[in-house]
Amino acid sequence: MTAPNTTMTATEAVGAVNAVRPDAEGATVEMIDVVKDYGNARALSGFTLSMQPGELVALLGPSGCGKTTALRALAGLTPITSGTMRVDGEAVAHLPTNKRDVGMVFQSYSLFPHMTAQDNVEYGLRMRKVPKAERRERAAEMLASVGLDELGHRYAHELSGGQQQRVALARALVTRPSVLLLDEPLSALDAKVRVELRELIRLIQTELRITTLFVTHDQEEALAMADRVAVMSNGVIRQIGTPEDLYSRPTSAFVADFVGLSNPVPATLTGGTITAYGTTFELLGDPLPDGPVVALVRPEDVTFTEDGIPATVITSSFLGSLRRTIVRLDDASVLTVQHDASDVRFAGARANIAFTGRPVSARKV
Amino acid sequence: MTALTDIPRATPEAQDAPRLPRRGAVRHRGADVGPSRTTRVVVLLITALFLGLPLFALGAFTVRGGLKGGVTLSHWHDLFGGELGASSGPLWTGLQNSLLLSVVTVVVMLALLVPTMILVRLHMPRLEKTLEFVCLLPLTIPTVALVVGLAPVFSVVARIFGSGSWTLAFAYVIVTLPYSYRAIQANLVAVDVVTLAEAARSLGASWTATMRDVLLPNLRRGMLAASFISIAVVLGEFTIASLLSRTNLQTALVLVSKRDPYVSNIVVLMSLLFALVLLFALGRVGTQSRRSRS
Repeated sequence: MTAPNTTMTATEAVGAVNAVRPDAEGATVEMIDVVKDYGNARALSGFTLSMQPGELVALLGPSGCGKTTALRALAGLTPITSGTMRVDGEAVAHLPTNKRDVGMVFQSYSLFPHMTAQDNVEYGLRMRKVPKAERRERAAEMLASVGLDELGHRYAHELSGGQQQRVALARALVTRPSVLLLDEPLSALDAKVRVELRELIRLIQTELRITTLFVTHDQEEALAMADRVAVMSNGVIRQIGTPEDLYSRPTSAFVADFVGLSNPVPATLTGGTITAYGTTFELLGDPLPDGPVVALVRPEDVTFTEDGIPATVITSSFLGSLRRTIVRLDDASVLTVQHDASDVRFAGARANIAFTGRPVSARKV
Repeated sequence: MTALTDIPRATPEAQDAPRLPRRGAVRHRGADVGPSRTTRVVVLLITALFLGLPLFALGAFTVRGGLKGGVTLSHWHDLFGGELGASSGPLWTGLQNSLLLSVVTVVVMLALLVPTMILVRLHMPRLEKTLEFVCLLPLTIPTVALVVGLAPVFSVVARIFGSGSWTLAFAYVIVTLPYSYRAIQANLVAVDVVTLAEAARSLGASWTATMRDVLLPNLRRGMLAASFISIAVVLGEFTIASLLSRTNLQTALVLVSKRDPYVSNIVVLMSLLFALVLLFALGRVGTQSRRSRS
């Protein structure tokens, strides 16, 4: 068995991708007021999303929030109860899956086990009656673009999980679909392969300028890959924006809580200003009635100082260029502080902390 | 243009390595808790003796020279000598009928069961328990009771399809249903047909193409196993054929054994060996299925 080369340059990959789809242009996608009921349970309640050509939007949310249902509805795998779905201005809600011109990569390994990787990639072209010689050539190019040009003869059980998902990606893209749908394609992979593959997906998606909807429950994945991230709960999008927007300017406590780490700090809200431990913060997002609230303070907005609030270090974790240290205040509140890795803190040591005072989200007590 | 970073390729040496079976690799998993080699050999020998001795005795009887004793192949020659005597005539008719019945039973069973099971699995998973109950029901009904219910049905069947022996296949499909269902169900569970079907559909395949290109090839082992079991059951079936006055291998054997015990025993020996071959084939299919899954 010959092991494939471990790397290929981006120039090679981009060349291969361009050969597959020289004049690629993504499609617009609109999902308007989409409702999906399962008996009495409502999975999507007025789901609305608009995607620009070539954009990668990640649907992020906890289990059962409806993100996979939204993706499957767009694919035609789950019939919707009501609503409108358009791809490039054309209504698609009435079309069966095989007429929607979508490419899809599934969470579970979905390669056809009785076909080789090459045959798997060719299958979509075969369904479109592409001549044999052309489809062999296009499939080989697509396999090359995912770095598997030497493994086309292998069957699914002879490939690792990461390799199988690469083939699945090539299979989904080789037909030049209008929309690429990714249903948690990395969740079954180990951490290293996951990072490799997400970089590959983003690279190919950018080069092909293919409109992509990506479902994930992993916020790091969503923030790292997407042009925009849509945070969902209870069948609707709670906030959609760039990763920076979501992290720095969450419009609700739910989003602030769900995206990134937050310290819940007991505070008081008076006329739009939050006060906690003598520090005042501007309230981000939806207004709340005056009174006691829980402010959600990011770990990087808590710092160690010489003469701040007294605390005791509980644990400290090394994360490469930075550290996260958990401290207990004298009133028993527990906070996470994110700071420079060179500032080493040991468990049991006394310290003082302070808040930067940057605007924060808050929720009612 | 994207930054000129290196694209990571598949790294088979890493944790992400392909799961190719190592040649000559021996699995020892569970060896420490299993029976010792001696125990296994003893158990196997006893089992082989238990199963093999009657077959050997049967074989010995077929070459016995009647009351005079000695060994002769004349009984085998009578059966295969080219001239089918009056004694073995019904046997060949029964064998032909049984083989035809096997084919029709397998075809009808596969045509009914496979699309139904796929349909239920893909679109009506709530009905899976009901389908299982219906398919396993024949196990709980004694064959004699089944025939009592089938007799009036077969008077209608005879009016529509005639009274050919092959019509017994309709009854045999019911008898073989539990075994066939289990074989196909095991394959359905092992293969994620829902995801495979959705993948094929998303690639532009119609339902016909999805069935033809993706689902049926992946259910081949289950269908083969179901077919083998059905053939074995049909070849050994006596009660229904006898009570509905049809001729098949087993009823013919009973008939012939009354005239020529040697010929009937030769056929019994051959059908047992045939069933044995079928079982081995079944075991092989199962082993391959497990290997491909691992």
